[in-house]
Amino acid sequence: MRQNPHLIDIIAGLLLFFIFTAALLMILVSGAGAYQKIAGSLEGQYSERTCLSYLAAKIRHYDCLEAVYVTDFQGINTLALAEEIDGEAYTTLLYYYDGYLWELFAAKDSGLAPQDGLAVLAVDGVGFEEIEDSLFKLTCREGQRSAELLISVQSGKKGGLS
Amino acid sequence: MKERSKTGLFLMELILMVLVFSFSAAACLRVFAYARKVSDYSEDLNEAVLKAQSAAEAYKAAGGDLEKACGTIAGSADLKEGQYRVGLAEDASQPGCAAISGGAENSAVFFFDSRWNPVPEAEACFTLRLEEANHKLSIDVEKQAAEEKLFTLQVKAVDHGK
Repeated sequence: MRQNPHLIDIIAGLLLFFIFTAALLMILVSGAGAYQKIAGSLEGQYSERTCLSYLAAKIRHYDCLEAVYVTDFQGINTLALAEEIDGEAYTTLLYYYDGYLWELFAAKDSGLAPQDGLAVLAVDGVGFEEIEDSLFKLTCREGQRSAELLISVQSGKKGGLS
Repeated sequence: MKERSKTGLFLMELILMVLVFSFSAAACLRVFAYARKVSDYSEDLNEAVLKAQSAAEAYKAAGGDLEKACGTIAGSADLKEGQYRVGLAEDASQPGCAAISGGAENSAVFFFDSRWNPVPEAEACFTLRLEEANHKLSIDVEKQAAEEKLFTLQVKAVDHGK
């Protein structure tokens, strides 16, 4: 008979300990879930934003008459940025290939292949489209997310923004 | 007697431990919830900046013609009727146009859901509002439910030819 109260004390202690452990696990799982979601979202945003900002900066850098155009590079949708160095025509090609945004700077008609470029950023897809004269639509896809940006080429036009 | 008192102390210690843990867990959960809120806000702000930037670029490409710019935005995002509204000063007598003009000469509103997909007005969670007055375009991206302005951008169309 004297053993019973002692047993109840032990059971109560054990029960409290299990509640404590279960709550601890729940908090850990919840924290891990929150961290995973935030980290994933930040990574997606970083890739998207960096990719679009990089492409927009490149277009603005090459904003000369007929220097920016969308082309087909060995079957890949590509943004071409043309320039002339010492009388010779060079082109910077930006395209999506094998999970990366690639950049290839070479003489025009150099015969180089997509894998000869430089992998700039890991993304799940990049698209280029000239939707109007001098207005480009850039699309970047990262996982389930997709972001678009319109970029207007100012050169050769009278209008602009201030 | 001595043994019983020892068990009671152990139980008390456990209860105290659970109590302290409960307070810490509550604080942690609040921090997780806040982190999630900040992450969601940053994701929305990121999209809002892209939408506003694209609208400004479309306005630039259209040479300061809001109607043409709206047509470009609608065309590039493949928008359907009801997913945006355009109110021009010249059609102010038409129903619905005065309501969105709000003192501006010309205005337009585009509607998006919580994942930034174009939707009809009734389902809108975010709006992209363009208001043109005196050749200046004010671009506002707002969160509908909270009536919170996520991002504002003001641009002016200039004609370098004049």
